[in-house]
Amino acid sequence: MQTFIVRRLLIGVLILFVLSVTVFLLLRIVPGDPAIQKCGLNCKEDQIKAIRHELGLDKPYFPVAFEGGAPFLTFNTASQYGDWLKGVVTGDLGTSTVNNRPVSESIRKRFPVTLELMLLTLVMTIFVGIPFGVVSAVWKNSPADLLVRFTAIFGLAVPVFWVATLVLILPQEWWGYAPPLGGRYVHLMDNPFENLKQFLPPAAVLALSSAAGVMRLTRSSLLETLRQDYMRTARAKGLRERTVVFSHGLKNSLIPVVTVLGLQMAGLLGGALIVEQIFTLPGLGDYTFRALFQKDFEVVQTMTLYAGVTVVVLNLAVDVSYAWLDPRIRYS
Amino acid sequence: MSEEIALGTSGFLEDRAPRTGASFARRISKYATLARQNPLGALGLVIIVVFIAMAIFAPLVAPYTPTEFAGRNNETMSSSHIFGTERLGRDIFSRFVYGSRISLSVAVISVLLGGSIGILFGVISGYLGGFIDSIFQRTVDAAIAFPALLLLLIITQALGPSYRTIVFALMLAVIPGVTRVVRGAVLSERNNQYVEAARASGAWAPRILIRHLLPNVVALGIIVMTTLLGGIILAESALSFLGLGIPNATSWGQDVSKARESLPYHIPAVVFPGMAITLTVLGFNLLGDSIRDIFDPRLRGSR
Amino acid sequence: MAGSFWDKYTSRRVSRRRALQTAGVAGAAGAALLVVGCGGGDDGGKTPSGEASPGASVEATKETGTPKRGGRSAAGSTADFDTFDPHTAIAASVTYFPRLYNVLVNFSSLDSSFRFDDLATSYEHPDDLTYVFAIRPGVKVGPNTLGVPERDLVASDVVTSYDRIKTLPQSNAIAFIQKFASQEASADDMTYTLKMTDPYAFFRDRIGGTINTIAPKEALTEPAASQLKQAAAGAGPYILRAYTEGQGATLDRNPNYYRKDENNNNEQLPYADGIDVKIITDRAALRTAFQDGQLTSYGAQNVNEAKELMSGDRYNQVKDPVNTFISFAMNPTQKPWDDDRIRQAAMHAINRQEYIDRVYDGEAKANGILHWPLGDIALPDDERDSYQGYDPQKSKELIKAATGNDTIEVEVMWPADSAIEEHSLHLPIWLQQMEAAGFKIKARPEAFSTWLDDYTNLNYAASLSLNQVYEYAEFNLDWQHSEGPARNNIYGIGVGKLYPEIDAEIDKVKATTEPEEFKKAILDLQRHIYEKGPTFLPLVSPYSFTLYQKKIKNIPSGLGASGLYVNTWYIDEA
Repeated sequence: MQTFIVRRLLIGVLILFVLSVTVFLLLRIVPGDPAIQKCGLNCKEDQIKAIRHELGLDKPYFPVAFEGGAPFLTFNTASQYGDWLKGVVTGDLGTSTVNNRPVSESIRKRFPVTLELMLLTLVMTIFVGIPFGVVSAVWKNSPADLLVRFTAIFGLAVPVFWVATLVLILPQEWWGYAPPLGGRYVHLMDNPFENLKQFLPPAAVLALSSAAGVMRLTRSSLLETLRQDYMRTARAKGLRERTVVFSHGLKNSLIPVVTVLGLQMAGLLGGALIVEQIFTLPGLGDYTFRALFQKDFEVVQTMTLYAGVTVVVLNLAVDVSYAWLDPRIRYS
Repeated sequence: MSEEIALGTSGFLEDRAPRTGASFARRISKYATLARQNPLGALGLVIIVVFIAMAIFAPLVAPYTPTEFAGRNNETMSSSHIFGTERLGRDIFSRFVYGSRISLSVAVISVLLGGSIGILFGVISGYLGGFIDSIFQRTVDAAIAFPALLLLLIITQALGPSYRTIVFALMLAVIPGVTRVVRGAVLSERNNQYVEAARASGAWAPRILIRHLLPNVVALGIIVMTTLLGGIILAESALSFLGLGIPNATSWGQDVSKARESLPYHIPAVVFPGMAITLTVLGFNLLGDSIRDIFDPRLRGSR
Repeated sequence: MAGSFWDKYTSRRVSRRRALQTAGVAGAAGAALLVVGCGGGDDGGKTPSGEASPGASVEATKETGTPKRGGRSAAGSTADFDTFDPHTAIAASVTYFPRLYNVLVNFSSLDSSFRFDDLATSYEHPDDLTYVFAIRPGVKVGPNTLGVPERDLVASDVVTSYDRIKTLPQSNAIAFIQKFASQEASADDMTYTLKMTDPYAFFRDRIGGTINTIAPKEALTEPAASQLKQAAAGAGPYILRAYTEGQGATLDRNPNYYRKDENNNNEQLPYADGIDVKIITDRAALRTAFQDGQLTSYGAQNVNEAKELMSGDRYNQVKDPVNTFISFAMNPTQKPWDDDRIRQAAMHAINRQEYIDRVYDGEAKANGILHWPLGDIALPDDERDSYQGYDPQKSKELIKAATGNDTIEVEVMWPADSAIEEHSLHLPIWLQQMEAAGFKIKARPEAFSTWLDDYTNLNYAASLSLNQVYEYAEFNLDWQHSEGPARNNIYGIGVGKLYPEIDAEIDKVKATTEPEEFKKAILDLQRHIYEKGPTFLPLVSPYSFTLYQKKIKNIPSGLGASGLYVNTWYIDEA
């Protein structure tokens, strides 16, 4: 097991390395010199040079470079990629090229917003997805089942930005209600009511598709379990159907569901990019999105790396928990 | 989209039962019957057929071209403009019809390209096994769980918005899902007796691949690709919504994005393109589900 | 601020960097990041302005009641604050500088009778090059966290501020301030003397611009200067109490503010306790917030939206002309635009009425080389149309004459991921009009940042460009100048590239200070540019519709950006 984890971690690091280099290079294909944009209009050649230096854009890309043919490796003590990576590891990400504010501080301030959005989404996903999935499986092919299935497949089909727009605007049109928009992020502990007014609508929008997924998965997983021999045995023993379903069936069928929920968290960041914009939540999705359009290279690199780390760790956690939950699975 | 694909990561796709060409053919023959038992799938098929027909025969279906100024601004629904007109006086219904061309063509092309690459990767990974397989699988795991929209945005920003860029970016999003499923299939096929026999008789590796593995695996790949189409359409519309779609195209995502600013006073301009996206994706999802269920029940619930 | 337009741009999916880039464009336009909106609520969607504007309909909300004290207004901003440094900030921040800092004197470009003497009580203009300002006593810096003493501003603060603008590399320094030859504070620090290098026709307009904001010198030097991204210290009507990135800013009443309300028993101004600025990047969210009463003002997206919102009689509306437009720029150093006939063919291909009808629902007017809100220094409509009138037949003839073919293929770039509604609405109309007049358009849509890079570096033949906020005629003229607005060749696509005499004439107009002579010269210049075939064509400029909650009273209107300096508005919850 330990060797398995170590091996997985090593491969994970390799993946993250490839991801970070790819994103690093992709961002440098984006046309447009941040220095020119920053410098503004009365800019002279040497000013641009100075700003490029200030932003570190005059440094070579990588710590290691091939110059004058393959065998001649050159090592650069200062490089854009190397220095950025050092910053990520030490937690000092420098200042934003856009507003000169420290990146680490911005991320720290925005992290709770996104975390709360994710957790709230997760909670809603669980409390909507699993019960309806169970209903759907237990009363298979009943009208309730059809309704749940259709709702689920509908939930997976609607574009997030469309639902978010409608959820934002229509209540105002019909009932004159709107969630608090812009302005201050109210911490959950300070004022739970105000905080939930801010977070529930976007979380509900995000939860729509993830709950739909979980619903479907719960249903099929439970159906699969109910078909198993040991379920028949349980029934034959004369246990009540409710006991059979809930204590035997559900417990076993929830293993894949729970692990998938974990993975969904990472994927939700994509939805957060859109939803945080529309509901004006000052979170990481909003931050990443702005940075991307403003060509704030290091912020985008950092955020993709963080997303990558989350994904790799969650993947590993899923596999490990799998082995733990289901003793039949052995990794070598 | 990422959510859907992410649901496939639980790992139980890998231990699929081996399937043979014969059973595949037999299932084909059962197709009509099974379709009748699958009302939701049939509904999906109908939706898709309608949209495809709409895309192909757009000039015949739509009363106006999508770009012509067919009426006054923001007209309400009437007999000459059944969905009304949008901000510039273009016919919303005509844009609804023509919008299907972009969505469908982008989705189909990128899924075909990405699917082919995914099949290739899956075969390589599954057949070779060992360390290379590990690398492939971990990459696929990561790629599936990674917020796809973020990477799509970076790529479209880097390469500049164009049809080609969008197809390329979406293609990348398709690869991991297909790779995983195909690799699982190859893995189980590889240990099959007939492959063992072929190998024992000294058959050359590519020959085994092409003769024995590919036919089964391609069919499976296509099934998975069908299930991915809906997600890809959603991704395309999200990119369009965020302003990184195909420039100056008639696209549902862009239409929603532009019209939402005038939503309170002109609801049709937002509702109809959004509905078009939803319906198409719904159609593909229903169809994909059913095809998967019919051809490979063990895959059920994998999304 | 840099106008609704940039605001809108930064809305939704963009922001500071974009706003920065924007500054490039609007900046080159003379860093005309002129502040918008009016009165109470701030952040109109659009920049109202214009000089003695024809048809500037002023629908003031003058109240007869006695102003009430207290209450807070809430404004939405689609862009985040970049910094509160008065000399490097752009976008959202600039909108709030009239609240936080001071200028010497401000004139409204919309109402020629308006004059707001701020830090200066008066000024003299003894000769063509010299300006002498008498500094107002008692303009006292408000409480602040920067450690700047609460003292009165003096002439040397003006010197320090302007020096900083002139020398700071990343400042929004403009051609105007580069023309400062020398400045001097008197011995008692109560007189400020400025000498220009050349006579300058736009002095009055420029001196009161937000770009020339004056701050106490302690705030502009270390250690305070590096804190300016989070804090501010000035003698304006409000002080910055708090700012949170991505969320907003809180402005409180400056207890030290020097101004009293002459019309109300010399009551201390301002009346409101403060302004809450909320950053709401999404336009739909912004409107929803206003409808829900979370914001006290809102710049409507267009006249239809304004009408819809006004139908419930819940708000007051202020309609103003706007100094923004979408433009078509042709680079005369690239083929085929070096041919006067091709440029003129493009000019005649444009049917401005269609933009007015379709994009603005009639609430806009056609522009010539100067846009109409600038008033009577723009050519009269008839004469303008005799030069540039819509005539696709003529376009075809010109193309035929120039190339021998019926059509000509031209490459045109534009920002493709533009979130600016106006641009995306102009584009399809423009494409159809050009095609109809014999131009085969080879489309070159680019991501915004790419587009801006190419635009700045003249790496294009033609571009359908985003609109900019041009408060003064100077910027339009500079676009026709070979070296561009900053005289460093950035945006230098002027017709002056082909005809140096146009360059000379532009410089001459800019140095003509006598009003009658100036007017004649600028009209003649437009005629000459038309004859050569202009390289930069503003399309149409619209009206803006800014809505206010009814509790906001006494909104200064019809003043354009200058309305931000007037703080007699108040909140009456009743």
